[in-house]
Amino acid sequence: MLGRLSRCAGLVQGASMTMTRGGLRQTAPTLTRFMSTYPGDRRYADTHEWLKKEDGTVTVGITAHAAEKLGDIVYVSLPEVGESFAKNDAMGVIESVKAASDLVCPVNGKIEEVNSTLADSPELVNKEPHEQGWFVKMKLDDDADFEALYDTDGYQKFVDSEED
Amino acid sequence: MARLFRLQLRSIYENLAVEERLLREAQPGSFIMYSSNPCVVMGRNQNPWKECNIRYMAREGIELARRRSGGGTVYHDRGNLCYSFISTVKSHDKNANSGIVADALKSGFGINAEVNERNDILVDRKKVSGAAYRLTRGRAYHHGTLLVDSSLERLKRSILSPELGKISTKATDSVRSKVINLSHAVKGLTVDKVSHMLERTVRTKLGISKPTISIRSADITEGDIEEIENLKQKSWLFGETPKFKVSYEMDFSWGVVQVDMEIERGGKVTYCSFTGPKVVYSLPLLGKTMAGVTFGGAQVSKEILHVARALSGDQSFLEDIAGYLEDKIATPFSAPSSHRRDTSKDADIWQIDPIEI
Repeated sequence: MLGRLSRCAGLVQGASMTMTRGGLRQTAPTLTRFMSTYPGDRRYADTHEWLKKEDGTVTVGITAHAAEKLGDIVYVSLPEVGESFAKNDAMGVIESVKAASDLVCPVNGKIEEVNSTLADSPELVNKEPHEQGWFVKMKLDDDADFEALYDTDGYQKFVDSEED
Repeated sequence: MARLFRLQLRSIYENLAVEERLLREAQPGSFIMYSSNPCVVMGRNQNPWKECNIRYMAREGIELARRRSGGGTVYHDRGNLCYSFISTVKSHDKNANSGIVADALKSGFGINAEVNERNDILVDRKKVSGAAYRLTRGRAYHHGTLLVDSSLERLKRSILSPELGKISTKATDSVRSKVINLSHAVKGLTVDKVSHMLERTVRTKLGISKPTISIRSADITEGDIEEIENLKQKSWLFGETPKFKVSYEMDFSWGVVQVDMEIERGGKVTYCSFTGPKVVYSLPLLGKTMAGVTFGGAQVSKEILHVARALSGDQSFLEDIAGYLEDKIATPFSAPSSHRRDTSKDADIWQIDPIEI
């Protein structure tokens, strides 16, 4: 029951976000659901991070689904620029309502930039998880790591299967 | 197989380190209990100067720890029982866990225990138990305190910082609550009695039938020691404080000096400015020399005295400032020596309940 409720909330939040970005151009509604919650211009990890690739650099954030599950985020501890992480390493900590959760690194790579606005405005992760609430930019060790992740449809199916 | 663990340990660092290992290694559905010597335990992302009275703690021999879970600052002593539910992230259910603890108090002692929206447990609308959570690598724990017959005097004094209004930060704030001991509701209640009642309730609710496992000093692993030493490092206790600002108005017989500092995570002073009477001509210079200094009483005052020695005219003024700041931003904890297992007084602190099959 709780799972279903949170999924509904996630979809509502996702829908409004899609609208503010100026339409549905990136989402391809299928006959089996109304619309996808997740932007189509990026990849997704089974640990609920999104990754958007520009040249050899990926921007990493957590999905609306993950942000919704965490609840109100009050503090984000990010890694240092220049640090290297392996896939599935904890590279930071997200604190929400008394819970400290790992920020998981979804690929092998090196930190090039961190979103320092989160230090003062951690609530951006809840408000705009797919845009202003990004966490880090990383240099990929190997592009294959990125290609191996879920696309939008694959991630949506993964989330649905986790909820059921 | 899910198991019940009693940590026969009194050091908060040992207890937190073993809990961290069991989070990784114990079967989900397991349950841990421990009770530590007097200490203050802050949440993962908190500011010790803001959350506790460091001077008072040093005087009273109360240890300081930073745990890996979120939330606010709590005081522990041997009158406090800590519990910890280990689960997968997927089956992590804080309401169910708090319900089990409240049920044990109700059915065992007839205490009217209620759970609020923060998963605190309240008796007569006063807090007896607070909880915090850690989620990592598919595993989660929900751990909490339970005030049975703690020193409320020490509790209050330990977690009230004299610097509260002087520090501004986006670090996690503690939510201040009125607290009460369970022994206030039921005379003669002890940590031992409550632990056995909680054990019985947890066995029934979580379906744990195997005998309880004691973890003693001799069971501390090399990995635990590494974690214990991490937990005792200044770079963890103080250095993990999220960036913050402090301002003091120092009222001396010769005038008022205002200091404003900004400190980044890791503890380095990134900005510092002193303003005060013109006669103390080195104040602007003093601010500049503080950049890069590690925030903490001794380090800051050492730096000021260093400047003072070079400027004979201002020496007595700067000595006053150094003394004031050393007192205000104290970190009177000596660097930890490497941890040794204390097996000399290895008497168990818990009796293990016999299991009826």
